[in-house]
Amino acid sequence: MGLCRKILSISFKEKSIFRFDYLVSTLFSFFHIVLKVYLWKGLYGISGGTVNGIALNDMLVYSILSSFTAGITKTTVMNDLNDSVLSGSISTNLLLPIGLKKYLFVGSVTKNFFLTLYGTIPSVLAAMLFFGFHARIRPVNIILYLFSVTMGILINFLYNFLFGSSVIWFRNAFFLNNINSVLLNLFSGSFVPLWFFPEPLKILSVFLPFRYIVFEPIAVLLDTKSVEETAGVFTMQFFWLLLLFCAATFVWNRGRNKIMIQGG
Amino acid sequence: MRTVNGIGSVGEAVKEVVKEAAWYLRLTRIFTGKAVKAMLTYRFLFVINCISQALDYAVAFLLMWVMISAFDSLNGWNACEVMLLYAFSLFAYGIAGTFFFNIMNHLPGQIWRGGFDDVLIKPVKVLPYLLSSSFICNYIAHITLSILVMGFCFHALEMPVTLWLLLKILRILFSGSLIYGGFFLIVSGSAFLVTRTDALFHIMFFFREVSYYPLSVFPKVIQIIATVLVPYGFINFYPLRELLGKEEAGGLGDLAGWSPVVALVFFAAACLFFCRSARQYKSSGS
Repeated sequence: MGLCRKILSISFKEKSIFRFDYLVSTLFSFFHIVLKVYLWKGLYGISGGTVNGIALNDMLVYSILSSFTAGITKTTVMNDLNDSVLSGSISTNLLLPIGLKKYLFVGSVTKNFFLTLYGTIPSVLAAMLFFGFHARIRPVNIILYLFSVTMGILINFLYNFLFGSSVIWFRNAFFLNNINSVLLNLFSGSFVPLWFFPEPLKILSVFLPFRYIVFEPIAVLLDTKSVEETAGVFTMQFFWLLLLFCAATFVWNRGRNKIMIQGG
Repeated sequence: MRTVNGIGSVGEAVKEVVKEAAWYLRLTRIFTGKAVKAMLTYRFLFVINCISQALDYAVAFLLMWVMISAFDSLNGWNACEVMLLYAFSLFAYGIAGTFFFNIMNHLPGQIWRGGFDDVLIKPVKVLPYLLSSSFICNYIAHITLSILVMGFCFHALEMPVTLWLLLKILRILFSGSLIYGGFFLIVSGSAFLVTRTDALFHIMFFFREVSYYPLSVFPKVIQIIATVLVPYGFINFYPLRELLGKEEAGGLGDLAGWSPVVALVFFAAACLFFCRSARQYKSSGS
């Protein structure tokens, strides 16, 4: 907890030095939501109506919620691991008493907490005020969403850590970031929800962990799932969590003895 | 006699400019050769990077197709037409990035650390030298993918590829590349005036994203900004609307013909801004 507080205070100090940059980045987070909303409005046309059973208002609500959920589940751990191996700073990180995986997780969560508090929440609130937010969300759905999104954060972290660890063998795994963004953009539903996907892509997404990071938590929040379906989502999230945890631990244990420290 | 002298001095000046341009072109060839050699040294990583970037953009095209196909059209533009908008913007960005991205990427760091002194003590002009030495091959993926998508979309739209069409396409791509080049120079030049240029990055990349879709989808204020202040509309929207014969009334009217003029003026203004800003440089090195 002390470490979290320290990282948070450093992040805050850094952001307050470059406050103009922070303000502009928050403003443009809002503009990105505006862009998404106008795209959906353009797609639905003047008449509105429903497509695949989804009305324009549902899509606007989804766009705002997906910006929020994508913001809080985001992690830069793959990049951080790559940079630390390239610069050689991983040697000092390995000496930390809490272990590298835990250290990276705390760093990622704290950084995200800051970004959510000062970047995502203001832009999402502004979007809600600007476009209106007409959704009936029950308190129980909020609790289920929080549970599901926590699992989403863990899944995304472990997945990024697992593939980020490959930098030990590749020496430079910067290209993995692109591949990761490909899969996340496509299957997480952060931009286009899976409701609109053609059947083959929809089926493929079931066998990958990405839909459980953004799409499914939002679907749970919007009460589009029955009790059995919600239980199914949690089971799948737990399954992916377990699988990725085992894989990440196995790969890291195999890899940490092979790390070549560079720089000096 | 005065006229003869005048002609003589103009001739001399032109000769001088041509000589200088030839010298910088030679310099560009040398630096480009080195960039290609560096790329070939780490060819595995280079190829993987290109593939991953191409995949990243291919997914963006796929998502666009999925999204628009589910609704038939986006403000009267079908999936292929919107993908063309994206492909033209991506191609122009790739060409501009090949020559200007490294300037934007490295200059702020050089200014903080005082490394820009190295450029100033060389017997060269700042902008032409930076341009000569900043070539990168990393945009091959952007360019190749956008050409493939353009080919696919023109075929799907059943547009016969004639010499006239190719010339029009080249004109659009050239104008677009100049506009993107101008943006790269404005962001780079700002590094001489402010400590961090991240805010300008945000602005540039936000409008780049706007340029992937028909401008007419967005509110009037964004349409005006993307036409007058940051002329992204001229990269693809106005020229393609004319090329595809669209009859929608978005944007600020039929401005396709203005595209090359706007691009040249914008690029010249960006060069001027960069050179003026470079004069504000104060060494911070030790």
